[in-house]
Amino acid sequence: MFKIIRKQINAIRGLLNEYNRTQVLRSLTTRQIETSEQSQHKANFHLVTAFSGFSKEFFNTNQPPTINQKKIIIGDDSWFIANQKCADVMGIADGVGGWREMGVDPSKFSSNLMKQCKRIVEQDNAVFANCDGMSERTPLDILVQSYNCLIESKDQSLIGSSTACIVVFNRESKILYSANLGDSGFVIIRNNKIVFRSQEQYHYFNAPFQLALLPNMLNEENLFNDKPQSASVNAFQLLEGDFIVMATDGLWDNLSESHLLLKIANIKDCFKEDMQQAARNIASFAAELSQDPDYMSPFAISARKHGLNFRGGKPDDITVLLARVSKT
Amino acid sequence: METNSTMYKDDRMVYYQFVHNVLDFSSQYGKEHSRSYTVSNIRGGITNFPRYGDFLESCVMRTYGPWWQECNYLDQNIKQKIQQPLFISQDFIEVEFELKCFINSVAIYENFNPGSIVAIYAFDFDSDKWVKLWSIFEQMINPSNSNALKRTIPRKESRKFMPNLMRKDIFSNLLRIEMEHSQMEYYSELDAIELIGATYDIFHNKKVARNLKAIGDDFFKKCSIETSFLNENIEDETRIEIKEISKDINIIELPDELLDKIISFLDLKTVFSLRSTCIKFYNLCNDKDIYKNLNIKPFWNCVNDKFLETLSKITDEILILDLSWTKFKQSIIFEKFLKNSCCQLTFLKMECCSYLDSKMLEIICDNCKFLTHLDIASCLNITSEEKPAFASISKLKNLEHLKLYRTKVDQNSMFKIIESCQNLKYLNIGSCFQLNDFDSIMSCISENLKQIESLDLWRSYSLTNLGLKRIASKCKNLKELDLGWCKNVTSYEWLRILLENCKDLRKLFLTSHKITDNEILLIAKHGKKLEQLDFLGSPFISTENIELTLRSCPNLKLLDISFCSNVDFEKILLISQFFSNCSIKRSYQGE
Repeated sequence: MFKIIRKQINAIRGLLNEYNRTQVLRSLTTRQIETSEQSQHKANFHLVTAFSGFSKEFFNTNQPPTINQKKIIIGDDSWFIANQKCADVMGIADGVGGWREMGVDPSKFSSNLMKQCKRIVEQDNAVFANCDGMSERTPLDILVQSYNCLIESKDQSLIGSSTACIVVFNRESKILYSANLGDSGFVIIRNNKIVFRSQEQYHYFNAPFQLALLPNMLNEENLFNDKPQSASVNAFQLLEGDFIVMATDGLWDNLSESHLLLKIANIKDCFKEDMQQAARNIASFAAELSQDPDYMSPFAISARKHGLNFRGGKPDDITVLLARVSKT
Repeated sequence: METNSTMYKDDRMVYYQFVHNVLDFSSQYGKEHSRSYTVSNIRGGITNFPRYGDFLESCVMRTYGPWWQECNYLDQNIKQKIQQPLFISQDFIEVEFELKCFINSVAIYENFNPGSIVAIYAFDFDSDKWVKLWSIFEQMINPSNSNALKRTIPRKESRKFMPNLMRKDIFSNLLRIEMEHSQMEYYSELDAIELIGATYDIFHNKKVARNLKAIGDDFFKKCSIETSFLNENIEDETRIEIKEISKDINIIELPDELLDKIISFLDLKTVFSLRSTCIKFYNLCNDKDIYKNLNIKPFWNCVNDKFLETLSKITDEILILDLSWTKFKQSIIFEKFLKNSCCQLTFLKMECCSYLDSKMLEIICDNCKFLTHLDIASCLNITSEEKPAFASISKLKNLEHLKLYRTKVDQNSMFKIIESCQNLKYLNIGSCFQLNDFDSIMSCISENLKQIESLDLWRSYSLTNLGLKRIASKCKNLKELDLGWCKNVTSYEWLRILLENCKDLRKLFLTSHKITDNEILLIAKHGKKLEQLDFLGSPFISTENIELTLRSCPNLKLLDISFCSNVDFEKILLISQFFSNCSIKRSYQGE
């Protein structure tokens, strides 16, 4: 008897619940429409993102440029994009190639670092599913936690070092929080002008800050081991239509600002496909320049300033993440 | 629009949700607030499944197998006068999902050593209680604790575990998974938990639901009449049963000794039911003797404040008490219970009791002067912010066994405890993340606790060679030393001193220390009595020296050489035939 009664109660409760839900949903949607009509700033935004990458090996092997969104390793570089309820997060890491001489695959460290970052963003609902959960420290926290994950792994065979750059976009306030360690970085382009450029960090010329996992046995002085906490941290208020170009040093060393602005200005629409095309254009242009022996690349100019006679592009892995702030 | 993979629904309005948030848990392998091998990894969708292996992205509990119970001081066997109920759980996780629904099924993605899950509960908001949805005992022909402990463990491959739930009418978004891993070969690891259910009860009551209006008022009338009618009926039936027995002999006429014996075959819940039948049984069940050794942990979901109130009236001389996992609400009643019934206590276990706060701990320490065993692991609501509550433990001069695993004990309180509880033999301060200077704690221990036998310093990140040297030279009775993940220990001078001084050393855990062959040789040379050894994550040690260790430590039962990349495991497998007493562990990260 009880069972029947309980079943009936549950049935009623279920229906009521579904009714309530649709009510809530309805009220939510109507509220959204109202607010977007009344005040622009309350509307939700998100990033339309695209990725492209060229491995250094490209010109030797004629391997086509990577547009496969699932391939997260470009030569020694690695990247991730993670979307959560209230945040879009992007990150890139450039594995330090010097490890190859010691028989270590440099992409392993960078890709593992990015993998952990992505997982942390996707799992941490308290921060990323809540618009008030984010702050200037958020990208740094991601970096610290993901680096700690690798330190605390049972598998101690993972060694290597990498630069890293992470940006977190708050979908409600449109603020972009960033943490950057080393010579990767990003620029923000508004109305075809660069309005923000992330800070690069060097120990000396061509020796960027880097996170590292070193084997116990060698503590050589020429190996850098920077703390994730020494990353430069920023917050920047974005507007609708702003572009973010995030890339490893392979891009910044070869592509000048004017070239980049030209490519961005050519983007007509902000659909995913257009963005994808643009990202690919930027990456392939930089890759071509990097092979040009006579081109005065930004790297060559910088080398001259440091008293080194260097000409032409700098062959390196190139990873580009392109994003645009759009209304949802 | 959302690409959020943690929740989706199909065309029948059935929601598939992954864990949104972790509410509580009993233990974890990883560091507190970290993301490697911690319970917080259960959140979100599938990460590695169906890959099988030991991944840092998994949710891992602190122990496995019999190894931790085998330690001399860890668990005093609670021998109750009354029968133990069906209950074998050792660890639990409580998780929250975003959306409440009628739970139709639960899928648990296990990606390393599956088979540890023994019970699933859901929180029923109507009755304000945790309700059992499934347990290992349901599928057994002959349910008993020993049979459950001997259950067949599934094959070592990743599996999506979807048990048949007993009840599908619970409307909830809170789940609780209970685990038992004494049979596990190695740590069992979970990837994700998926909750499948609809916001309305489509699986059972679609038709009923359609006729909602027809049922309407009529239903409520029926409801009130029939329930009262049922109550009467139940009473009648029980009366009849007793009368039937009384044709031959009235059970009440049996001698008290015999009845006592009968009562001893009942479990606590039944004793309390029996107690409310008649005066005779009421008096028999009010015997203080029954309640001298009390294990309330198996009843964590059925005991409430009322129970505690009753208990404090019945008995004033409980000696051994296990209140782990209970969720009492009113601190006044608990306080009264402590003052009335617990003055004689010698053994108190209160793991994961969120109601245990600073004030309660002080009352315990003031009232229970005779305590020799105290276990308040994972009680995270005792804080030291206002006043150092943990310092009051120092009033318990008889204390021999103290487990403070995963608590917020502070540095100064720890000094006080060590200085005044000079009888301490077992001390577990693993994962106590507020202790920040282990070296001075170690020197304090070496000054005051020379007879200490077991020390658990799991994940003591501030511990260095200095502190260990002090311990090694002064505490010669040490039998067990767990130094897992003490990452700042980098040189091993202390190891020689320890092995030369502590001739009785049985357990030595050097998890993730990256030790080298020199240390292995030391252990092989001096550690003749060693039974448990852990070298996990030491990439530099060689196969030959592992073999040497096996030969020179004849008592060895456990040897963990996981992630020792330089060791040829095939070779070790061949050798292990000659050392059948020793269980050699080697986990790996699947490709």
